[in-house]
Amino acid sequence: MWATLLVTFVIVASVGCGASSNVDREIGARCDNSDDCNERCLADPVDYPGGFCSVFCESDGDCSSDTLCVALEGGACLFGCATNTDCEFLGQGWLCVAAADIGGSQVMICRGS
Amino acid sequence: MPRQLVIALALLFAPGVALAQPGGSIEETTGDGDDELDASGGDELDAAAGQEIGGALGFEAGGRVSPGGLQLTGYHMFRLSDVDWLESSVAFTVGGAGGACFRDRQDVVICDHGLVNGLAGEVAIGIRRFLADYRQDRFIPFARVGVGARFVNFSTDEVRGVAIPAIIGGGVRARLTHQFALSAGATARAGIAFMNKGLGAQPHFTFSIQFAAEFALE
Repeated sequence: MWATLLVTFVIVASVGCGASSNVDREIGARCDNSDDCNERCLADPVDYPGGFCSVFCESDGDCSSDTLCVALEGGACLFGCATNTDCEFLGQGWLCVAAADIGGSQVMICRGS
Repeated sequence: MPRQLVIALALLFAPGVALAQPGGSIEETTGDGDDELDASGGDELDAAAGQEIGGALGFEAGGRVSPGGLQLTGYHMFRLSDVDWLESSVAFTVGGAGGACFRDRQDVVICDHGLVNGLAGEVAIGIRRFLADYRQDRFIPFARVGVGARFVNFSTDEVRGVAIPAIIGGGVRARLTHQFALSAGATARAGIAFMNKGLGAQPHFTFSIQFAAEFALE
């Protein structure tokens, strides 16, 4: 009886352990202001549809592995891409466009149309 | 299903109910292993009052939308039999603040709080069973099952709700005098929480350890 209870309990407990999202409060979450993010919200609805949580950066080393440090907004981490398809997960209005990285080279990043 | 439930409850509680019958005793109902109780003298100490109160200090670990932190618990126990006690409790968990919720790109709110974030207030009721067969002198292990209702709050994110967890745990109690005992134990909670901010029904899971002082009521 106690073993049955324990097994049932473990099954119920394990339900809540799934993965959630590829964005978070640091990079990529929707936002209206900085309270919605760990550091700052890029809220321009044209350049960042729905808002975009990001962090200040001075090099790619300041950004997570799938983001790049670009010379926008005083240095911001944005998702890198190769085609528009790579940016679809961010929602409507996001495209893969060229931008200058923090060193002056051209890179492709997801940004609003 | 109702028949299975009745059988399950009968199996769970039948031994304890048998011990509670008038004139019954541990010696009469639990077999050879209980001879040791008399030799140890611990049985005499446990023949105390039918009610006890206790206070516990512990640490609860949560995560996501389950709070964690320092946990204070007060409880009352009512003896049902030689081994089973009805345990009702009030507990408060106080953890740290800090935002951990965000909106993903589909505008769905996701919370990923750490182990020791948030606040919780809980009332719970359950059965504590002392495992007399495993007694060692003054030390006697116990197991408990129950159900609780918790108010959960993460103030920074303005996320709150009500959780209904099943509670399962166990520990060891050392009776020091007729009126006083110390115990240490661990408890896990698993259930469902109904949260605001569009989170809806969420899994609720925590694990805690506690150290308690228990007093018999004459």
